[in-house]
Amino acid sequence: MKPLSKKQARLYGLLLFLAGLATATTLVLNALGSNISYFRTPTEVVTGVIPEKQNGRGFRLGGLVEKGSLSHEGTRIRFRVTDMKNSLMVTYDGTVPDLFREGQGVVAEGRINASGVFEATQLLAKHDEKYQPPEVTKALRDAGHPDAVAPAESTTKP
Amino acid sequence: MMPELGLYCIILAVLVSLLQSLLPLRGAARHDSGFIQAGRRLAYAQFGLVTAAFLTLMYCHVTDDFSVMNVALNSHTTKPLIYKISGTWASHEGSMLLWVFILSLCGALMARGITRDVTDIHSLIRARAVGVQGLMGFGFLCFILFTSNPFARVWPAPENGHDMNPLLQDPGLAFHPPFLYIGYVGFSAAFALAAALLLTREAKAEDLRLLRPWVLAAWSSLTFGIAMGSWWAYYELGWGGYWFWDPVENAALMPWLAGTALVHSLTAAFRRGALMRWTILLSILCFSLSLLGTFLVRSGVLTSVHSFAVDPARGVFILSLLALAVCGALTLYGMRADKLPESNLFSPLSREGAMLANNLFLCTACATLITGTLYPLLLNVITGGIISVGAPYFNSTVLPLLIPVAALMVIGPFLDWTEQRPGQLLRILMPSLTLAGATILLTLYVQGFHSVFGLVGFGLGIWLLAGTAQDGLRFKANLMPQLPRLLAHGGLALSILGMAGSCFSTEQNLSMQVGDRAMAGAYRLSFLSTQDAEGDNYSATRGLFQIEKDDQPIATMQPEQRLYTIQGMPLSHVAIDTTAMGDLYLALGEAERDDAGHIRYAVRFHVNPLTVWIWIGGAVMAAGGLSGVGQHLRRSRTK
Repeated sequence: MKPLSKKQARLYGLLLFLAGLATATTLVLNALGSNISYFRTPTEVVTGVIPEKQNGRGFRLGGLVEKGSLSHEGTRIRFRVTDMKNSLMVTYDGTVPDLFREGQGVVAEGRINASGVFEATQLLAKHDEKYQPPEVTKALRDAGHPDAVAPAESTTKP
Repeated sequence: MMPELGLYCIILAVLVSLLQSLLPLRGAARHDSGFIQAGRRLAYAQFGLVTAAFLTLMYCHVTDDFSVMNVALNSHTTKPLIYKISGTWASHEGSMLLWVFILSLCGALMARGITRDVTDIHSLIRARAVGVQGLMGFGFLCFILFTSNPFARVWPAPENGHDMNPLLQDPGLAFHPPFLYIGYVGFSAAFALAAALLLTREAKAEDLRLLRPWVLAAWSSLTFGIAMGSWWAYYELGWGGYWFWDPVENAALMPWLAGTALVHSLTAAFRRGALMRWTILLSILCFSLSLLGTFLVRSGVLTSVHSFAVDPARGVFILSLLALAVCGALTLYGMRADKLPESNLFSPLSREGAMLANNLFLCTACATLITGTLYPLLLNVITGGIISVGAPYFNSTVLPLLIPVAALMVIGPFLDWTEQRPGQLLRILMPSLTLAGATILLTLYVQGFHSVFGLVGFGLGIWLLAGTAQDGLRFKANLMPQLPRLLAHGGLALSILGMAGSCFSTEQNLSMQVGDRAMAGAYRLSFLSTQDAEGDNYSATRGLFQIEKDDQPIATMQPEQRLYTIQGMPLSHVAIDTTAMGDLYLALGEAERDDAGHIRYAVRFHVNPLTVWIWIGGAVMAAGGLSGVGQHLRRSRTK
């Protein structure tokens, strides 16, 4: 193939660019539509109508691990996540993060099943003793616990 | 006394950098040797002052001076020495000082190239670049001085410090930030030179060669830093994964993608005079993305172990610096880009064409990455909703866009500059393509249709490895000049194979007590014993496991469950048995007493095929970039 003239180069360049842009936009919109997950508090799940209850989509549930609610069956654990107003039963199979404790903040990723139990596929606890996941702070504040507000920080990984 | 000395150095450096941003620019405009030489000395002075401040902070950390807030919050007398040293940059304030330290180092190295000859165009360009770097230094030194003073005192001085987050007390992570920052900040030199080229009317295409060592060094260091960070995440976080599409990882990947594009367009620009304006623009964008990364990580808008404290003033300050740098540079580009010499034309099927296509794909991938990373922030600002964009988004947008990049990496090196006949090309590519196809079929036969990414990855990895080998064999006698490309491409091929291999990893969660045996896939785990172990600032329970396969013992593994006593933080320390074929990865969870009164441990066992090649590949890529820097320096010395 011969080198293109300036005009041709511009035209082809523009077409190529537009084609690329269209492909990328389609991919991005498509992927964003199906891959974002909202953060919900136990109160929103228990009292409110959230679309994830009907369509079975995944979401993130945040709050504190209710004291005295944690039980083990082999590698499977059950506990309740609370925002001090409402709470929701969560089950999880696998090893828990190092800082997963009763009374501490947790963010669970997963979906709600037919019997209303949240089946977590991943648990995120905080990284550091000093901090509370900001989502948890928000959940507690939304449920009317301004004193529960700790310096926001650190949920997932670096 | 020492901390005040450090602060004094920073204040002096602010003043010096202000002068450094004015004098050499004026000198270059008027061809005035005096001003230019002053700029050179000011760059040295700034480097000296910032180095002194940096060493002072390190001294405070090593000598446990808890009257300094930064030390009190991040250190402890029992912390091992290596982490006291790395503690210098483990906090927000310290890491910003490291940032400026590297910036001033770049300025000083740039200034070394300034000569007394005012007709030497390279010297004039460098003088202007030193001026631009002075301006950036001024901005960031002000940031340190007004929002993040690392030498702030605390009164009364505490007896002892808070210690450092145990997750960060790890040799892999201790030296991860310097490499990452050399990468980030190294692109500032390319940015400064691009601005200088726009300011220099006499600039020609060959002058873009000046950017090459900086771009290659920054790219290598960034590659190495990212690989190191991912390795740390793999063994320290104990989740068995090596990349999580976390916003902070993305923040480092953005300038890497743009930087990779820049390495290629730069070659086309100074060798063939093609894509010149695009290369200048890309240099500006690349450093802008480094700044965006710094903003995302340091401002606290993202939640992670890297965002040390949420202080709105800091975020606003860095955002302003970002806006100023980007707007200033783009305005300059808009005003002066048409003054650059005409670019040479080329056929779509040519080396330049392949590089342009690679740039398009890399930049599109980078844009989708930015979209996914910033979307939750934007949505939060607009609607107040909190969302997270998960790994599936990035897997289904960024990865498909990188597949053609890998294909272009095989094809590109065989293309001639300016134009290429298609028929010849197919004949050259046939052997490697056949090999790639065979690999995919073999994978299908052995593993079944299990993971699309794994299949495509193995095919691409083998194609790229074979293609790179074939590329290298053409240059039997004269291999050295091709080494940077061969190593970088070959290294990525190894990384791709490692990533493809880890698509086939397996994970098993078990609940075991001492004496138990359990099957996990083809492996048998025997939990032999536990014992107590003591570290400098932690105590641990260490489990002893024997792993058998086909009734043959193949490994003993000792995962630990540690408790860092000062912060009271438990941390699981995984055991990894690495071979070329893959890793066995064992994590010991916390002990629980079951209903019968037995102590049971949660045990997680992963088999991760080929994983270690991801990081070997990363190191090989970085070595490729560095060999390019070495060749450039040797060439300019012999000239």
